[in-house]
Amino acid sequence: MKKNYTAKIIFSDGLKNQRIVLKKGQMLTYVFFAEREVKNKRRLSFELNGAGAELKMIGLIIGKGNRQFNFDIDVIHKAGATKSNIIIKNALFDESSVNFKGNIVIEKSAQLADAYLAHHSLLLSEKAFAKSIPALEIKADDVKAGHAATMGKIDEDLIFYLTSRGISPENAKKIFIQGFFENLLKEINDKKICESLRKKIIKLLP
Amino acid sequence: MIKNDYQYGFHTDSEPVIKSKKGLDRGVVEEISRLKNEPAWMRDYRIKALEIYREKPLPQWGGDLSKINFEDIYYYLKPSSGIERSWSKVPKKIKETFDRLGVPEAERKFLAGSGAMFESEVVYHNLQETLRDKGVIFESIEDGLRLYPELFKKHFGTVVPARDNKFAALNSAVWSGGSFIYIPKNVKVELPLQAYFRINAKKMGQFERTLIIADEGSSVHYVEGCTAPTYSSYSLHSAVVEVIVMRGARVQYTTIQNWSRNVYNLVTKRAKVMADGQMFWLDCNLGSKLTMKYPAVYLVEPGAKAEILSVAFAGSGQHLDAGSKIFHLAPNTSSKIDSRSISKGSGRTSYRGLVKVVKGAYGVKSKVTCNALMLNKNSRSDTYPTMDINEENVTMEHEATVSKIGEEQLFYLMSRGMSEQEASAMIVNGFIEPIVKLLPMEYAIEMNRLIQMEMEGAVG
Repeated sequence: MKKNYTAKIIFSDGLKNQRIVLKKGQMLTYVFFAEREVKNKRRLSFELNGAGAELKMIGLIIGKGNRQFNFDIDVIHKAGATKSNIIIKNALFDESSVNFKGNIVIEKSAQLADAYLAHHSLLLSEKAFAKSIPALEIKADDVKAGHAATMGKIDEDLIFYLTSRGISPENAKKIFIQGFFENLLKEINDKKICESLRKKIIKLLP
Repeated sequence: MIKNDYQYGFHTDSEPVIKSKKGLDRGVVEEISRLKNEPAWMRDYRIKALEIYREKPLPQWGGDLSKINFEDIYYYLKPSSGIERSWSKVPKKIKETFDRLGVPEAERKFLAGSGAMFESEVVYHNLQETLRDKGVIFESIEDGLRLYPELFKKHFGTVVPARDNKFAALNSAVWSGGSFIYIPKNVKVELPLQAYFRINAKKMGQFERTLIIADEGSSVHYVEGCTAPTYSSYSLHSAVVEVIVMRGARVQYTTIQNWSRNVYNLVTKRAKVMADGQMFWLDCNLGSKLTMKYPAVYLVEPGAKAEILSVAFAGSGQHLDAGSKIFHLAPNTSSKIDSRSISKGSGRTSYRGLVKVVKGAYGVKSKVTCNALMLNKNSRSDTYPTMDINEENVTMEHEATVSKIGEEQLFYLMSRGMSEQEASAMIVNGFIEPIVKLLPMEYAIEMNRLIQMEMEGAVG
C-alpha cells in the first residue's frame, strides 16, 4: 500500500524529556541526535490515544569520552490500529556508555496495533558499554509486536575487505560507522535534517 | 471462567508419619535437622539460613506473592519411613498414585534410575547395576549427605548460597527431599536419570534440594517431571537446584512442571560451568498458579557453553513469570536462549531475562529469542529482557515477537477439513515443537497431549 507520507517531523538536538500524545490519525516522526552527556535519566513518553495514530522514532547517539546516556522510552498504545516503530542506534567510543530502557505497552483497547523497537549498539572501545532493556507488555491479542537488540564491535571481515581495496584502516572504520547510521537517515523524510545529521556524524568521527 | 478439571487432580489419603507443626520458627528448623540426624554444620547452616530468610523482604517485582500465608504451611512432612529399593516394597497407597501417573511404565521402558518422590521424602530409589558399577551416585539428598559427607559439604550451597534470595534462604533452612547426583570423570550416562515427584498432603510446602556434580568429561541427562493433585488451599513449592559442570562435562536438566493451579512455584535453579563444559536447561512450565523461575548459568571459565530452552503455557488465572539468566564471566563463552510462551484465556506469561558480559570476557557470543503466542482477547504477554554488556569484543543478539494465531494458517488448515479447535491445537503444537522434540519421547507425547487438552474450549 502506498503511503501518502504527511507525517509531522520533530527534530530534537540532544535527549530531552518529552510527553507527546497522538490523536486519531496523527502521524509523527520524532528524531533525536545525542552527543552531549545525559547523566540524569531522560524520559520520552508517547501515547497513541487515537485510532490509526502512527509514531516513528529515530535516535542516533555518538558517545565519546566518559559520557553517559541514560534514558527511557515509553510507548503506550491505547487505541486500535495504532503503529509505532522505534529504531535507536548508538556508536560508543572511549569510555562512553548507554543505559536504555524501552517499554512498549499495548492496552486491551488497542487491537490491531503494530509495534516494533530496535536498539543497536556499536562498541568501539574496550571500555565502552551498553545496557539495554527493551520490554514489551501486551494485553491485547490481535497485535503484532516485536523488538530486537544487538551489541557488538565492528565486523573485522568488512574492515579487511575495505583495506584490501587500498583504504586505510582508520578510514575503513569511519566508512563503516557512517554506513551504520546511514540506513537510519534514509528513514527520515526531510532532506535538510538528513543533511545536517550527516555533517554532524562526519564531524564527530575521530 | 476458570476451568478446574485438572487431569491429575485426585488426592490419595496417605497419612504422614511425621508432620511438623504449621508455621516456621527455629524450633521447626532444629526439629527437621534432628529428625534427619544431620551433622552439626548442616544444622547451623539451616539456622543461619532462617535468619537470612527473616531479614530479606519479599520481592516486589514479578508475580503477586501477597496471598501466600507463610504461617499456614507445614514445613516438613515425612510419609512412610526409610528408602525402598525395590518396587514391591513401596507402600500400596503411594504405588496407586504412581500407577495413575504411569510411573512404573516409564520405569520399565527406558529410564535408568528412578528416585520417586512422594511428599517430602524419597520413597523409592533404584539405580541400575551398570551405573552403580561405573561409580555413578544417584541418591536422595539426605543419603548424599549421610554417605558422602565430604563431597556434599564441598559443593552444597556453592552455586546457590542461602543469601542469594529470600526463597533460596527459605529452602536452605527447611530443605527436605531431592536428589544428589555425582557422575565420575569421563563417565557418560546414556539414559536419562529421572525423579518423579508430587506434592500430596494438603497445605504442604515442598522444599526439595537437588545437587548435581558432573566431573570432568562426564555427561548426564536429568529429568524432573512433576504433577500434583488439586486442592483448594494454596500450596507453596520452593526448590533449589545446584548443578556443577566441570571441565568438558555436559549436563542436561529437563523439567516438566505441571503443578495444579493453586501452587506457588518459586524456584532457584543455577549451574556453574567450567572450561569447555556445557549446561543445557530444558524447562517446560504448564501448571501452577504463579511460577517465578529463572534458570541461570554462570560461565566461569573459557569455552563454557549454555543453552536454555523453555516453553510456558498459561491458562486462565495463571501467571508464568519465567526466564533465564546468563553470566558470561570468562572469554569465548557462548549462550543461546530460546523461549516460547503461550497465553490462553486470562493467562499471563512473562519472559524476564538477563544476559551479562563482564569486562574481559572477550569473544562472547549470545543469542536470545523470545516468541509469544496469544490466544484470547484477555490474554497477556510481557517480555523484560536485560542486556548488560561491558566488553567490546562480543556478539549479542536479542529478538522477540508477540502475535496471535495467523488467520491464513487457520484458514488453510480448516479448508483441509479441520475444526477451528483442531487447527489451533496443531498450530500451538507446531509453535513449541522445536523444543518439545528435544524431550525424551514419552514426555514429548505427554506434552503434546497436555497441549491438546489445554486447547479444548480455547476457541469461541
